[in-house]
Amino acid sequence: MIRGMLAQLNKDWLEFRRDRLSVALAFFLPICSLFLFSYGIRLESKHIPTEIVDNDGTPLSRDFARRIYATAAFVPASAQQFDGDAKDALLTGRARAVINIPCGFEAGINMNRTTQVLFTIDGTALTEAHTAKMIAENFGTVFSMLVKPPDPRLFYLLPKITVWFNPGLQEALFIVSGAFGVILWMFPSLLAAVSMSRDLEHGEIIQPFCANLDPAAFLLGKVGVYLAAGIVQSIIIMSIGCALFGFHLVDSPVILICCTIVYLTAAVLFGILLGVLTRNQTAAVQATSSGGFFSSLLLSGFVYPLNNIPFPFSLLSYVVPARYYIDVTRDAFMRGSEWAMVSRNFVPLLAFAVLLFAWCWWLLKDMRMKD
Amino acid sequence: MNKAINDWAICALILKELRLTLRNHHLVFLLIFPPIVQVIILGYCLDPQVRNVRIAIADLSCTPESRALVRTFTDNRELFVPHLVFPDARQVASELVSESADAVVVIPSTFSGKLERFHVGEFQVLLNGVDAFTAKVARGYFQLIAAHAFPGRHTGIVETLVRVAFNPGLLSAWYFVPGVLGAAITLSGTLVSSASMLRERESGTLEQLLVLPVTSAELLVAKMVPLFGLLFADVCIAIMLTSYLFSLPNRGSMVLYLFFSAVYILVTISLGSLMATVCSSQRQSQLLSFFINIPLILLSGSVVPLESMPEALRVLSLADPLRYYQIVARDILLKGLGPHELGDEMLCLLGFCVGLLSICIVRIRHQLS
Repeated sequence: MIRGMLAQLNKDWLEFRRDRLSVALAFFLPICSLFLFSYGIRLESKHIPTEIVDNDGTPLSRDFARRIYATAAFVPASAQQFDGDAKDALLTGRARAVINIPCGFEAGINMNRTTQVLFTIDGTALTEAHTAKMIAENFGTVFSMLVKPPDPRLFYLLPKITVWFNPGLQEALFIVSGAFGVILWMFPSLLAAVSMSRDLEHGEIIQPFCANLDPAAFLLGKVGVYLAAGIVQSIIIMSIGCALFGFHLVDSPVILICCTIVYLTAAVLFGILLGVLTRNQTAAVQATSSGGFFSSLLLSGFVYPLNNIPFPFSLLSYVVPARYYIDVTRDAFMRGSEWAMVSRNFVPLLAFAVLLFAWCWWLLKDMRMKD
Repeated sequence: MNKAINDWAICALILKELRLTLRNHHLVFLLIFPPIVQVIILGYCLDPQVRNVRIAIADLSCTPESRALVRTFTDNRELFVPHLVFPDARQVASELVSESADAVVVIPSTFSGKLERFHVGEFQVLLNGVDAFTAKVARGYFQLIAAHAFPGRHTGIVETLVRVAFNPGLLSAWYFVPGVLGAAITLSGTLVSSASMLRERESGTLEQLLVLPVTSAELLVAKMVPLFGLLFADVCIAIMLTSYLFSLPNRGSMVLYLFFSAVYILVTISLGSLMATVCSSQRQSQLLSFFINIPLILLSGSVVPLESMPEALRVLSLADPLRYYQIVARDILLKGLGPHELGDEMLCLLGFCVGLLSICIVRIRHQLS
């Protein structure tokens, strides 16, 4: 069995090495993806183009406008004074928020009367709209405190907020550590899926089976090559990620290394499984992109929070291995990890690897010609 | 006579491609089914709004005032999921370390005393900063809650009234469905069109096409027709289903939306065919399609927001056809814009379509000769 496995490993290695462009892309693509994910994905919106309709035109209303722009969340959409229609500005996309300061703004404040400022936000840019809404809701209170110092006879609360694990609240740390999980699922599974489906499409699968190669040996040989490629990919992207964003392992690397190997094995087996099921290179890649790329990008907690997913769709995220591995990388690079905590991610990853191996073995076993 | 033969050859070629595509059940299934399923599932699942923040509270004061503060958190079910109320600060902090809570509130034993003597009630909030965006939003809400915890504190100075236009409920499905559909079409269109061209070359049947009385443009049209039909059917089914499931509004012209979708499908098929002309094997084209598709999807703003990207990437996204398609789709469906307002996007998409098709025809002609 070991000889058979080594022969298969050697065959797949030669095949992989021979296609120079594929080898180059296999290592270049993850690096490009890392750059793209790390620099391109941000949820926090800044510089929302805004028009302010100042119907009051007093020093206080101008102060309100100045302070709104000082938040850095809003920037003037145009240099001129805006006196057009809010809906028109939003429809044409010239502005994504319009703030309407009413006539009598300053007078109302001086007379201690409630003064309402209307924020109209473009809801078609969703994350921006959420950020603008939250800042707008807070801004009235903040401005009130600035123009009218709190009455010392009244009670007020002072929350002392401390942020753990990421004190600077850098979104890049969250995104980059998550990007490792997405990239290391996508590319090893893609390479394995293309290799397996090509063996089946070209009928090359007959050769190992004619040589009486055990399906387990065949699988282990194939996994070996693409696991090695995945390990090299993981070393490259983690080194680049750490160098670019200046973060490092919080704890010993043992947990991360163990989880990475199990995760990569599961990714390669996932690719092999799709290759066996589709038996066609195009279909295999299509299935990898639908089942692997989209799910690991969007249903793993990489960008959007998982606890917002409604039941029963929330169950889907439990069968996305990237969900568990991203937790491991965020533990390793941000929170720190212990085996007791990691087991809740390690055990599912191991279960995925074993299950996928058993499924592939079962399908390949049935392909063998009977004696 | 020659023209009649030519027309007959094109029809025969289209028919051959149609039969070949429809015979491949795997391919038809993968072209139709996954994009629709993706749009529906992701329409339900993607939601960037910060909600369900798990908070653990330690009330060490246990006074009516501290209980009133605890109630302000536990009553806000939209934003917070109150985890548990703990008796001591050390235990509650361990909830944050073990990731059982996203935020921890500690109300000190001196809370009520200080509130009575100095009129200032201090309490501590520990936030899990791993998800920086959620932590920032949660921090803002904690400040907002603290400011409004005792009514009468700010006696009517400035109030902000927020109205959201075009998507008043900030429904995430309305935002994501048009974008995800565009992304799914991009993946399927480029992959399948490049594979169908390369399969001819790998199996050696491309040489046979040389003897047909057709030009390279006609050959490309024949290759495009079946894929275009299947992907267009995809768009129609997906938009009908999502309109029903998510009450996705159609405030503009459906004909205009379908026109833009048809142009965009042509762009993706042309892009795939162009990739096939630079690759020598299906394996290379699959890897190259990933190399192109991932930036296309990420830079377009279809699944992650374009507005919050760095300036350099936003400039780079101007070369991304999916960017224009997702803008057009959202503007037609949500804002109800018409052809006059969407002139720039229409020109860009048509430019991509004509440009890619022309390059593709030239390259195929060069290869066939």
